[in-house]
Amino acid sequence: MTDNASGLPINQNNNDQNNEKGNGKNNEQTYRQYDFKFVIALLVILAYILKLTLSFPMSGSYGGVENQWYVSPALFPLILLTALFLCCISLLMSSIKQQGHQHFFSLAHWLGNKDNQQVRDRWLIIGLLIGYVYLLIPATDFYLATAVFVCSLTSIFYLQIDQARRTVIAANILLAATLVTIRSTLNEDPSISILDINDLENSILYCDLSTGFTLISLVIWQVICGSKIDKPRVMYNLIAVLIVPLILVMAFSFLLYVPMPVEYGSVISFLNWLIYEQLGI
Amino acid sequence: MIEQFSQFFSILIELVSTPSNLIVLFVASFLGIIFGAMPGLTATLGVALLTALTYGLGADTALLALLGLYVGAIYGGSYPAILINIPGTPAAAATAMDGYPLTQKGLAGKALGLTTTASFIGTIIGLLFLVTLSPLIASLALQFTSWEFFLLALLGIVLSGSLTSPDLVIKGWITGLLGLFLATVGRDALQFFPRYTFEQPQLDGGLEIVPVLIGAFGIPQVIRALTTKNQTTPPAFVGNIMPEFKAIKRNIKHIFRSATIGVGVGAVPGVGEDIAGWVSYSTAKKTSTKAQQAEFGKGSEIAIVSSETANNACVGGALIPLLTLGIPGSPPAAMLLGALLLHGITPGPSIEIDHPNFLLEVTAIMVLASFAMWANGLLMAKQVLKVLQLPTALFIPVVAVLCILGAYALNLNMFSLYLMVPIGIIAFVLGEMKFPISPMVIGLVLGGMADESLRRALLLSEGSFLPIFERPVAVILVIVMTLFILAQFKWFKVLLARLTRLRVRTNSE
Repeated sequence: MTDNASGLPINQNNNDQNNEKGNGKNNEQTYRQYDFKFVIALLVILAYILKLTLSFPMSGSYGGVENQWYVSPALFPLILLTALFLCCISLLMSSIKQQGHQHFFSLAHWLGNKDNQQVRDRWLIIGLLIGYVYLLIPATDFYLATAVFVCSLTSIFYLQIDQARRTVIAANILLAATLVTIRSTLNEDPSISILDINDLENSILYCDLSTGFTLISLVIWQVICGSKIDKPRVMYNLIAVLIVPLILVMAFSFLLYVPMPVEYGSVISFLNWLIYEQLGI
Repeated sequence: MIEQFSQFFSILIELVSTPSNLIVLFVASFLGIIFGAMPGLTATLGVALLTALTYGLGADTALLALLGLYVGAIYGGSYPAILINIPGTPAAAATAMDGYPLTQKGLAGKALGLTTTASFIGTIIGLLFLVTLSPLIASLALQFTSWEFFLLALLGIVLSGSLTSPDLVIKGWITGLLGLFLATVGRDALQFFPRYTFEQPQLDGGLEIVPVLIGAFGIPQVIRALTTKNQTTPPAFVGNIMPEFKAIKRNIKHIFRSATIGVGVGAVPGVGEDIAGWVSYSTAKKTSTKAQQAEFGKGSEIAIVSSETANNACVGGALIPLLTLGIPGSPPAAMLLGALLLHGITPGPSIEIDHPNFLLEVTAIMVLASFAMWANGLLMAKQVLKVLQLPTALFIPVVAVLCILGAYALNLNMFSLYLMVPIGIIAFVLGEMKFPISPMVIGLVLGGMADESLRRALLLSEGSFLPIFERPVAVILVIVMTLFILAQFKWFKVLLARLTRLRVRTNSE
C-alpha cells in the first residue's frame, strides 16, 4: 500500500511525518537559541552605536548650518535604533518563551557542532577565504595567491584526498606566517599594516617565492595523492588550479584593463613584459 | 501612442542592426542560462559578476548584457530542476515538483520545451505590464513629495521583511532595518556630517552597493555549495526540445493568470521570482479540476507552465518599481540598480526626463532578451547539459575568485574587498539562523532615500508630521504598512476574526 503522491509506503510516510514533527520542534528550539544569541550580540552593538549616535549634532551649528532636531544627522539613525531595539526585545521574549536562552554560555553552541564535518568545513572555507583576502592578496602576486586558494579548496572538496584538511590548513598557516614575517621584516615603514599594498617593493619577491613554493608543493602533493584515486580528476583539477586563474588574470588585465591588486607581482610582471614588450600588443 | 511605437521600433532596429549588440546579448543570455542551471549559482550572483565585467562598456551594451543574463538565469534554473530534481535557482523550486517526474517518465525534452516557451511568454507578458504601467506610475510618482518616498522605503522594508522571512516575520524586519542602518554609514547628504566612519576616509562615501551585494549573495552561496553534496548526473539524452505550442494553447488561462501573479509579486519590493513561482503553482492547483489536481506532483504540464510563466513574468514586474520609483522589486533588480547607478543612470520618477526614451529602450532590450533566451533554450540545451555535468566542487572555487575580482574591479579599491568578506560571512551566518538577506539588501538600497526624504519633509514642515495626513497617497501607505505590521500579531488576528464573526451575526439577524 503506497501513498501515490510520494511513492512511499503510508506507514513509513507517517513515521517520517512524526519524525519531521519531532525534528521540527528541535529545529525550532535550535533557531530560538540562535535568535537569543543573535539578539544579545545585536543589543550590545546597538548600545555602542546609540552612544556614537548621541554624539552627533542634534542642535546648534554644524558646518555653518543652524541645526534643528528634525534635520539632525542623528534623526534617522535614532528612529532605526528605536525600531531595532523594539524588534530585538520582541524576538528576545519569543526566544525566551521557547527556552532559547539555554546553552547561551556554551562555546560549542556559538560555533556549531564541532563533530559535524559540514560545520567544520564551513569554518575552514571561511578561514581560507579570510587568509586569501587579508593575507595573500595584499602581499603577493594575484595569480599565485589565487592558485593557492583554489588548490586548497579543490584538494578538500573535489579530489577529496585523505588528510587533505590537515595538509591544507598546515600549508596555509605556514604560508600566512611566512608572509607576515617577510612583510614585517622587510617593510621600510614597520607601522604599515599587512593590509596595505603600497609598501611592497622590498618584500614582493620573497613573498612570491614563498607562495610559489607553497603552490608547487601543494600541486605535487595533489598529483601524487590524486593519481591513486582518479587520473582524469587530477587533470581537471590542474586545469582549475593553474590554467583558469591565469585566464582570469589575463582577461581582467589585458581585455578589461583592470589592474591586479598587486601590479608588480612576478607573474603579472612577466605577463606585462610578454604581452606589451615582446608581442607588442 | 503611434509615435511611441515608431520610437520603440527604431530603438529595436538600432539594437538589432549592430552585430556586436547581438553577440553580447546571446552570449549574456547563454551565460545566464548556465548561471541559472548550475546549482549554487543564482541570477543575483550572475548579474553581480557581470556588473563588474560590463563596467567599462557603454550603458546600452551593459544593460543589454545584464538584462539578457537576468532573463536567461531565471529560465536556466529550470534545467537542473527538471533533469536532476535540484532547482538551479530558488525561482525554479516549484518547477522541480512536476518537471522531474516528467524526466523520470523519459519526457525531459517535453518538460524543457514547455518551460522554454512558458518562460518566453511570461517574460513578454511581464514586459507588456512594464511598458503599460511604468509611464503611469512614473507620472503619478512625479506628484510624490518627500513624505511619500520616505513611506515607500519603509513599506518596502516591511513588505520584503514579512514575505521573505523563512522563520519569524520579525527576523525579516530586523534585517531590513539593519540594511537601512548600513545605508547611514558615510557623510550624510544634508550636512555632510560623517556618520559611523570611524575616521576611515574610504567610508566617507558610504558603503558601495555592488561589493556589499556580491558579498551578501556570493560568499554564502560559495560556502553552501561547497559543503552541500548534491551533485547528480543529468540524463545523457533528453529527446527533442520543441516549443510545445499545443500545450501552451491548452493552458492559456493558467499562463495569463500566472503572468499576472508574477508581475504582481515581482512589483513588491524585495520579493523575488521564487515566491512568484510558488504562489502561482498553488493558485494553479487550487483552480484546477480534481482530475488535474491529481496530476500535480506527477508531471503536470499545468504546474510547470504556471510556475515558469510566473517566475519569468516576475522580471518585468520587478523592473516596474525599480525604473519608476528607484525601488528594486527583487534581489537581482537590486543588483541591476547598482549597475545602473554605476553607469550614471538614476532610476526614479524623473527617469524619462533625465534619460528620454529609457523605458522604451529597456522594453526593446527585454524583447530581445526574451527572444535570445528562447532561441538559446531550444538550440543550446545540449551544451547546457554538458556544463551541468561539471562538478560543483571544481567550479565554485573559481566563482569565489570571480566574486573577489568583481568586488575589486569596480573601483579598484582594496577596501571594497576587505568590506565584502565580513559582509559575506555575516550574511552566511544570518542565513543559517534563518534571517532573510533580501530585506537587508533592499534596506541598503533604500536607506539613503528614506533618510534624505524624511529630513527634507520635516525641514519643509518645520518638524511637523501632520502633513502626512494631508496627502492621500501617504495616508494609504501608512494604513497599508500599519495593517501589515499588525497582521503579524496574534491578538490582531483574533480581534479580526471576532469582528468578522460579529459582522456575520449582525448580517444574519
